[in-house]
Amino acid sequence: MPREFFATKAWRGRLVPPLIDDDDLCDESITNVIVSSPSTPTKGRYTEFPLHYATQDAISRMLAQRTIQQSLRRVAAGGYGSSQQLALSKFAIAPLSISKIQNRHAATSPGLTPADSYKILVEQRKNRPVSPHLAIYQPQIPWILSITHRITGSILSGGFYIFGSAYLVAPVLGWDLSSAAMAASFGAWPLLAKVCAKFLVALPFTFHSFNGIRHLAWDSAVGFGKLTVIKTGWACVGVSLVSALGLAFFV
Amino acid sequence: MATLRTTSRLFTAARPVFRAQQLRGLATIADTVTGAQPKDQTGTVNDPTKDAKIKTFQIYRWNPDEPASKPRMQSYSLDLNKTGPMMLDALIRIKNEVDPTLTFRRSCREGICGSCAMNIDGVNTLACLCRIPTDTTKESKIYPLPHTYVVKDIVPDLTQFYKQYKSIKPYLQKTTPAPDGKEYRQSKEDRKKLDGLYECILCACCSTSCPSYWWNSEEYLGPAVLLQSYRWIADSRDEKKEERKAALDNSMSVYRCHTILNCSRTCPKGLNPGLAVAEIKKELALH
Repeated sequence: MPREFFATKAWRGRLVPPLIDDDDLCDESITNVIVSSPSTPTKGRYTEFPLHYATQDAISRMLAQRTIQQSLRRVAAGGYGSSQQLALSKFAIAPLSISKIQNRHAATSPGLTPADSYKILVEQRKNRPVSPHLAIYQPQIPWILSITHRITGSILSGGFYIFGSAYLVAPVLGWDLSSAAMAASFGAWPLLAKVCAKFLVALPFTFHSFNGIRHLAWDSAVGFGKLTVIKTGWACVGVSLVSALGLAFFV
Repeated sequence: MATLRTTSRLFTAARPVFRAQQLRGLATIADTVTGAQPKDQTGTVNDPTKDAKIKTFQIYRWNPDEPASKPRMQSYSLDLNKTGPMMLDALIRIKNEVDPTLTFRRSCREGICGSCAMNIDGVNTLACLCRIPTDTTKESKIYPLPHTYVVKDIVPDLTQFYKQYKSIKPYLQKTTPAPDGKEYRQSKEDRKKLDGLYECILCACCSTSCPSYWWNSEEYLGPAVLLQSYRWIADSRDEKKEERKAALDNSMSVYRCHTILNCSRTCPKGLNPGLAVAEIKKELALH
């Protein structure tokens, strides 16, 4: 990245928020230190970093040391141009320091206060999409059986409630829902329809019963092994299918 | 920090030899990377080598700087022969060589930090622990963790998750001083109870795989936080066991768990959050 970029306001603003831990730092503790790079004495080329006070202090001490070395070297090399603009640093020992280090104690950039960055965050949160979930999750036996358990439970209880309430209102509406009458009308169905209807009623019942046993075991914290869950899941599917077929054909 | 950065920059600039060596190890990008294609649609590293195993990755993209635009899937193709074995290697290579705007979290690249948790081919896992399927006929799909607010691309907002973790007070609570004045000792058996609990790295894979957590994340704590909760309930040294249990004893915190067990199936560290939740339920019911 070009060195000039670091001196721009944009960069300055960007570095401030992540460095602030809003709990234990306040605005006053952030200052911008301008570090003149000793290797490039060109005027105006400097890097600027907002720093925590302690870090700044450490760097200041280091720089002060460096300043003394530099100025000593310059003195040894024989003088320094008086026409050049010089800035006196508070760290340097006055007569020796001919330095290019500046130190500004005020926060010079408008920057971002924690409140500002929080406002931006709140604005951004309003736009955030919810990542895809059910549609992209891989079909796996644990959650497929779980949702099936719910659905079959709803079918069974729903059927029970519907039949129960129909039985209640039957005398009013003149329906004949007595067992004998229903058995007679069901007996008149063709064989295939009878088997299919029985299978469709039996499957939710058998599945919900056998899967219910798994759930009872889980409630006592048994059968949580990763392979156990998969094995018992498939076993449950197999057993409930077979028993539903048995009920459809032989009962 | 400032000086360090400057020095390191000078250092690299002064040693072009090393830089060349580093670059040689990476794959080269052909000139036609994004040339004729519309910007940001498709990026491809074209390797003219024979026997190239070109695998396509479909990656979820959303940019907060364009809030009006909808999330979309962007496809990238890489030669697996020149890519590391793990999904994270592919992502890093895409970011380095094809599309630097692709955004994801990653840190340790060895499954200990939990940063690179994402949904890969329909399963929540850590990209650094997930091998790239070598079947090149199938595309790999990468989404952020399911049902999370997306900060950018594959980066989810986990603020709520961390708040919930904070709410269970995940630290040892003790009022009596240690008997020897130095440390709280534990028998080997008691220590063993924490195995399978303390290893959790809070990557949020299990919580975001839980359909119950998808629909109730405001109140239901989710498998990861409940596993951590049980880690402190099961700790023989902790003296606030009853308070911890009382905090969980309501209809939402624990009991939104319907033993779906996606959590145990998906945990990239091989832990069993489902079992931990069941143990909490048992504790609440029996004691």
